[in-house]
Amino acid sequence: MQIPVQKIRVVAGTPIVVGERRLLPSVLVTTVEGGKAGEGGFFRFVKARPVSLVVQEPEGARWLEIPNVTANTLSQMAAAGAAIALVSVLLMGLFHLMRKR
Amino acid sequence: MDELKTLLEKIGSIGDEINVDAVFGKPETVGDRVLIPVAEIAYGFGAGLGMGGQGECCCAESGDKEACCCADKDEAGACCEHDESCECECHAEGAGGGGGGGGGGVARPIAYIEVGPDGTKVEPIMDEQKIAFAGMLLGAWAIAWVGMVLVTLFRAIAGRE
Repeated sequence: MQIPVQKIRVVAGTPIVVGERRLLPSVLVTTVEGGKAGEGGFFRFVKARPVSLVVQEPEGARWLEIPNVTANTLSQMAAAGAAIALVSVLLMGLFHLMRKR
Repeated sequence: MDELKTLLEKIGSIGDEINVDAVFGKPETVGDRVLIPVAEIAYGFGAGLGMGGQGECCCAESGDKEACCCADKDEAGACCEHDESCECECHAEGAGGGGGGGGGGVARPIAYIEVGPDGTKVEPIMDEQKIAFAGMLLGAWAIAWVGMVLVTLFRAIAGRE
């Protein structure tokens, strides 16, 4: 059994032209694959997440980030959950020490 | 079986052909603005095939299985002769193979790009349902921990008295 291989790369998409503006998107592509198609079995997982956009306007070029607000909020909530657990464990340890003295 | 292998190899190369441009949707004109949907996409698939058995060797004329034997397993179908008086041949009965596969994908909108007379901007889209569910889970998690801390505190106070 082959060890699955993970590849992460940033890929530039096809430019989108809107009037005088030219938008150049970039995408973060994560690929995890294992096995070989011709040898028994294989699997492949691909995730494509938009990262940013370069806008070329008559006034000049600008870089725009494409935020994933849902994922960011969920990460913050997970961090808050971990912090609550850590502080609670510390407090419980402190109370145990108080009880022993 | 070769056809199945070829099919699997073709399925395996699908991922290479899928364009990253699938992330950015077709621009739509709404009034004097152009909206471009942006989504996060993920897909996965897997397939496998297997072969089992190698058929049975038997005497071509009498059908006697005792007179012949199958040679080494990696040489499927090869027969070796025990009895020189008969010609051994392999019958496909008992040999078999199969394959299967599956896959799926998901696309979730995360933002849209608005190109208007006042410039280009990215408007994020929040999945409120997911955030609300996560918020409820976080609330329950916090209540559980606070409860455990309070119980420990009360026990500590009772222990000192």
